[in-house]
Amino acid sequence: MAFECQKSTEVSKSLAICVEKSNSNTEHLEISKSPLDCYPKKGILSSLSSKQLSCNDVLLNCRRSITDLPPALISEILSCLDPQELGIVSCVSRVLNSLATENSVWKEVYGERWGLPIVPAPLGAGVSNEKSWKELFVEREYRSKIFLSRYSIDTLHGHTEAVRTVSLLASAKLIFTSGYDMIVRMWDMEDGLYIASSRPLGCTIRAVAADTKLLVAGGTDGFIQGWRAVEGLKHLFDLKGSEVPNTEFRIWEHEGPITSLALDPTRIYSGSWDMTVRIWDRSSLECIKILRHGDWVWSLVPHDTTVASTSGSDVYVWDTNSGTLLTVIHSAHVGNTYSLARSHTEDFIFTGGEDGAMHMFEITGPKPEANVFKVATWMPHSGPVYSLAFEFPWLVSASSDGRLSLVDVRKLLRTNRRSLRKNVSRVTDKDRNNVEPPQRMLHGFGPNLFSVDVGADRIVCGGEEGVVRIWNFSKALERERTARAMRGIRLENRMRRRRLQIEMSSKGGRTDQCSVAAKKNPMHVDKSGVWRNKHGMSGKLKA
Amino acid sequence: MASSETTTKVLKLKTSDNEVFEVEEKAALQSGIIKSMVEDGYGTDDAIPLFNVEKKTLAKIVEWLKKHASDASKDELEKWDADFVDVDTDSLYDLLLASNYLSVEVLLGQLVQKVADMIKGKQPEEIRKLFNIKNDFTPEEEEEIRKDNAWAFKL
Repeated sequence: MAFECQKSTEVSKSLAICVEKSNSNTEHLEISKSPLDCYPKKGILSSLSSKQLSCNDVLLNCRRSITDLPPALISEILSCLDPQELGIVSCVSRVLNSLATENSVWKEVYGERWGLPIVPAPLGAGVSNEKSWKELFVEREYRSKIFLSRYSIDTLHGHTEAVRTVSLLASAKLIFTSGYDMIVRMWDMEDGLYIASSRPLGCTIRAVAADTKLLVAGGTDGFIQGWRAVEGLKHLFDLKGSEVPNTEFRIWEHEGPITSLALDPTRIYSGSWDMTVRIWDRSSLECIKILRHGDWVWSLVPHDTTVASTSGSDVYVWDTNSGTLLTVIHSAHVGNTYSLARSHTEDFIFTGGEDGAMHMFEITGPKPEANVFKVATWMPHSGPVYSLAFEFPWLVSASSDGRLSLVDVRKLLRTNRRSLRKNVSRVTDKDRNNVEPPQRMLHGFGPNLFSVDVGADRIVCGGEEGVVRIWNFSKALERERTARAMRGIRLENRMRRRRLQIEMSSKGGRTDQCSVAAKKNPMHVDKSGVWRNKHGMSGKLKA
Repeated sequence: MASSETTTKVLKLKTSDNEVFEVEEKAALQSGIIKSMVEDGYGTDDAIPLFNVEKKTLAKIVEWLKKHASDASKDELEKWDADFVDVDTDSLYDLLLASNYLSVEVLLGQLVQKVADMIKGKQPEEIRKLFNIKNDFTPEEEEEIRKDNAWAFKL
């Protein structure tokens, strides 16, 4: 059908009617390509006021708008957009703005990238001093760009032997480290100052994990040493055990060295060379599940109701409630798969191995028969990759070659909440073929970097040298904030200029000064292509 | 109107403009609403009334249901689906509303993704033009909202 304004259409002061002329041959709606015929009847022309709709306006208003769809459907459409696109859509109209800025939408987007805080900040609507999830997202998004900027390095001295494990607790601005000297040390993240240390624990500590309620360390003797947070204590944990009694505990059950530890709100996870991952109840400290592997367990990462672990060269994904094995990635690396990281959407796994490679896998489909695809491979290191850390969009690796690599995976991590729900692969072949090399390498240290962690605007690393290094990007964050403010001012000025131009043109104001000057002093060009003004060439040019 | 073999059960679907479509049960049951109505005893004798769908739109949806009930290969379906959703915006809205009402999840997903793909990479002015959206912000509101979302624009 082609829309046309009929010649016989009567255009009155209050109404302009657009008649749909049907054409049986054309199946789809099309806007007529020919110029519109809109001839008002004789005598009507004089009565048309400037307020009336032109024929083109009428034509436009004959079409329906996307905003006529039910809000639930529009929300479903918006759920397929990236955060940046949501930001753009919110500038289109009031309806789209209200739907694209809903707190629940941005909470989901935030959680998908960085996970929701365990103790969420109160986000009551209408309270001016509390930030919305969108504001939190934008802030975090800016922060995620700073790892390509300049940095300062803080070096933390204190360990007498190699540092095997580092853990960054960004929410409390604390860093925990340990290693061959058998002591767990706590440092202030902001100024890099030493805070406290534990007594010697009697064996090498290969793993440390912490949240705001609990700190755990795992030793080669097979025990888990734990400290509960002390209420009112500025630095949360009484490592010495001198200030508050009964905050320290030790769990024995593993039959081999503990290589990895992790926490979630209700459980403790431990992996060991006894070829098991054990899941412990945080309150009772009882082992509630044992996940048996076929080789030494090197690393693990829990998420929601699953835990991923590496054993030998394989990667396993388990259901933590039932203890059933969901997926196995066989021979992920040549040699051992030492390190593991996961995205907060749970369906992307990053591995680092003895072969110096880093792989990214996508897990799709319903859990019992999930499909695994290798999405990307990076080979930035000349030695084994001992540790991986991930905070959207940065995958950070530490290797025996004494270097760190930073890989931006945002192009590979398509944040599409709809496809998450539908278990559809979000990585296209085009994405797989366009894997970029690491965006940054940080080096210049001794060999064997054993552990790395990333959080807020810091990267923390420990290795054979026995020192802990913090790459501090907070200055870059301040510069980014300044740049953002400048961009805001530029945009404001641009909008102001545009408004002034509109006002000028509506008032029939003078033409701009450049065109006035051009009329006063016209330029002439001769056929040879030489430009002259009407006074001819200047004396200097003639000479 | 689709005629079918005598061996397979056929359901009659009645549109808001009283047009009746005959569809194989296997194909029709991809719709959640038709499935629940069949379970409630509709469609055995009389046509199933679909008051919210017009003839033109239901014809398209029936075409989709038949294709997806056939034994077409995954690659063939992918290509066919891409062509199927490649329609003008008015038809898209009709299909969206109808597939939502009929609860055809897979089709709804494809249509929603199509609209999202049309939005991607466009500036607000282009989105307004494409989807016939009136800019109902005051200049002051627009300036404020642009400022709040400056991070989303590549300046």
